[in-house]
Amino acid sequence: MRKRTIFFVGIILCLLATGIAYYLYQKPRTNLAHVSADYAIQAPELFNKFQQNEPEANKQFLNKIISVKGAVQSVQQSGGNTVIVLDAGPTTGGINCSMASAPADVGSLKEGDSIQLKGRCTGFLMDVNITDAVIEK
Amino acid sequence: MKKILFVMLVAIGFSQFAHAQIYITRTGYIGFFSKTPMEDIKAENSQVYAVIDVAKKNIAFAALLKGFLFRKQLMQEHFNENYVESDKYPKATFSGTFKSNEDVTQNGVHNVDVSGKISLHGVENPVTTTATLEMKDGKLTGKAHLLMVPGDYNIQIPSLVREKIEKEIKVEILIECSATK
Repeated sequence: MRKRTIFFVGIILCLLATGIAYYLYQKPRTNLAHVSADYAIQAPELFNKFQQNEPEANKQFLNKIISVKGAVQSVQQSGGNTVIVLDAGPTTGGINCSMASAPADVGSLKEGDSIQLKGRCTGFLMDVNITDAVIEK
Repeated sequence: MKKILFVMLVAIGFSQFAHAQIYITRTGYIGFFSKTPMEDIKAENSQVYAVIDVAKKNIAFAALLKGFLFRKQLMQEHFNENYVESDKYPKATFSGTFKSNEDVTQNGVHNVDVSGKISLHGVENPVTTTATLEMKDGKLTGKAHLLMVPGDYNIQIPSLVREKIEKEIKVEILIECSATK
C-alpha cells in the first residue's frame, strides 16, 4: 500500500516537473507593457551617458527596462518591424527603439512629436539601442 | 569595432563633400534561421547599421547581438549567455567591398559580389557572397543570403541540443539605405 502511494506521488512529481520545464521552454519573450521601468530618463541625457562613458553606462543600463522621453526623429517600417528613432540633441546619434509591435497610431507620428517609450536597453552602437519597446504616452 | 564606428563617422563627415555617394541605414534587418524536424529557430534584428559607399565600393555593417530577438525567452537567453556571450562580445560587424560590372548608381537591380570579413564572438573570418543592390529614386536596397557555421566563430553547441540546430545557419540580410544629406 505504502509502495503504491510513493509510486503515484513519484509519477505526479515527474509530470509536474515535465510540465514546468515545458512551460519555461515555450514561454514567449517577456511583454514589457506590464513591467515597470528601472529608469526613467530623457533621450539626450541617456545618449550622453553612453557617449561619455560606454562601459559605465553599460553597467548601469544594459538589459534594464528604461522609460525614455524624447522627440521623434524618424519612423521606419519594413517587413512587420517598426523602429522609432528618438532625437538626442546636436549629434548624429539618437535612441534607436525597435517596437514590440507596430503602435496603432504609428501612421500619425511625425518628426518632432514628443513621446515616451519603454523598452529593454541592448547597448550602444552609434545610437543607444532599445528593443521590445512599447509607447507609454 | 571602434574602426567601424570611425568609418561610419568618416562616411557621414565625407558626405558633406561627396553628394549622394554614401548610403546609410540604422534600421537594417538581419535574420537567421535554422530548421530541423525537432525545432524551428528564428531570430531577427531590425536595428542593423549599414554604410555603403558607392564610389569607393565599400560596405560595412554593425549590429548588437542583444538586438537579435527570438520568439522564446529561454532561447534568447541561451543565445546571449551561452552561445555568442553578448556581455563579453556585444557587437557583430562586417566590413568589405563589392564588385559589379554595372553602375550601381543607376536605377535598377544590380548583381554584386561582396567580399570582406565578419567579426563575431571575438573571431574574424573572411566571407564572400553574392548580393543585389537596388537603386530606386535615391534609395539603395541591399539584399543577401549566406550560410554561417557556428563552429567557425568558436560557438559551441552542446551535444544535448545539437540535433535541434542546423549545422549551417541561414542568414538573411536586408538593408534599405538612404543617401546622407
